Amino acid sequence: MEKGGLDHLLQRACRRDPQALHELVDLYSARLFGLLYRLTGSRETAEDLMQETFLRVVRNIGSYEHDGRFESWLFRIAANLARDHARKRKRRGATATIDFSISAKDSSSYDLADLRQADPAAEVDQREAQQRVNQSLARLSEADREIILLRHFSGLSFNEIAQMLGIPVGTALARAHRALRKLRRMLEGP
Amino acid sequence: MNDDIKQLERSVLAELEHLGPQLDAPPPRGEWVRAVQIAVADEIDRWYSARRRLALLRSVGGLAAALLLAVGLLHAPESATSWLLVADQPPEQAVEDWLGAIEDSSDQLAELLEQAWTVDAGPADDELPADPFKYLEESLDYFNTLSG
Repeated sequence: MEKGGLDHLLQRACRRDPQALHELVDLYSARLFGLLYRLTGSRETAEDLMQETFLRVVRNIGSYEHDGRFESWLFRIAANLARDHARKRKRRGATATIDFSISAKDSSSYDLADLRQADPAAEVDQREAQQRVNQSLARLSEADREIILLRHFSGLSFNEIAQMLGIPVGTALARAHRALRKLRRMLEGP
Repeated sequence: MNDDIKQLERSVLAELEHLGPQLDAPPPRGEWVRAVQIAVADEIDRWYSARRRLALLRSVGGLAAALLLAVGLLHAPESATSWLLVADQPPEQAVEDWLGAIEDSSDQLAELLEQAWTVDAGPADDELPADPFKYLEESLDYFNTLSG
């Protein structure tokens, strides 16, 4: 969406115009879900957190002053929710912040209907590939994983991500560099 | 941003471009997106009802305060209301000013209550005054001045 269109949409959303908020869900649900799915490793958790993200947008958008950084605000809410979820999991005794068990179980619910009909083997490959990415991401530190996923799904610059996380841009880039090298080795390794 | 950081950024972006397709996630289920839209519409309704309740609370509170003040002034002994006669403006005007100040403070309190309802990890509320109790304090100060 072009900037003028987004500005107008946000002005309407600030007035809690139901249609504007409906459009915001359409516009951002795929990217938010992608971020939350990769951060949590679970489709169900990602869907719940995506809903909570949009409910918080409704509650707080009146106090959000549009300064061209809506996406930074939106993705920060989502990342904070994912971090809280990971903290709760740790408190409950989970060893990993990414939920492998749910990820393996709910992988059958991927939207792969077309693929399933066309080629069952391709569906299995796809499912395994998704799990492999989640497992590799789970081996990264939480902070490193968050930086590369925020960049990938939000499209924010590293400068904006560094501001969002309250760290220097050099630190954000160094973490991303290290994490990506590690991730590449894991994904391309045997 | 210095040259080293720019170089590092270029390298990270190239690496991300290479790994990007593998990081992509499956899309959310269509029925779930619709469920979120329904939940959002419900939340908007809730928000509007909460606002209506606050507006009602504010009107009733203001009216009750005005009635209490009027009853108090009408039934107070002469000695207790003599300050109204020595104030540098007509007593009706002084009471009207004070009621106006109460209304201002009431507006601020309503806004504060609303913010408390929507309190979240979001950014600081730029619309909220630096000191939300300022208007209440001012109205009380004004009352103290009038009552000597």
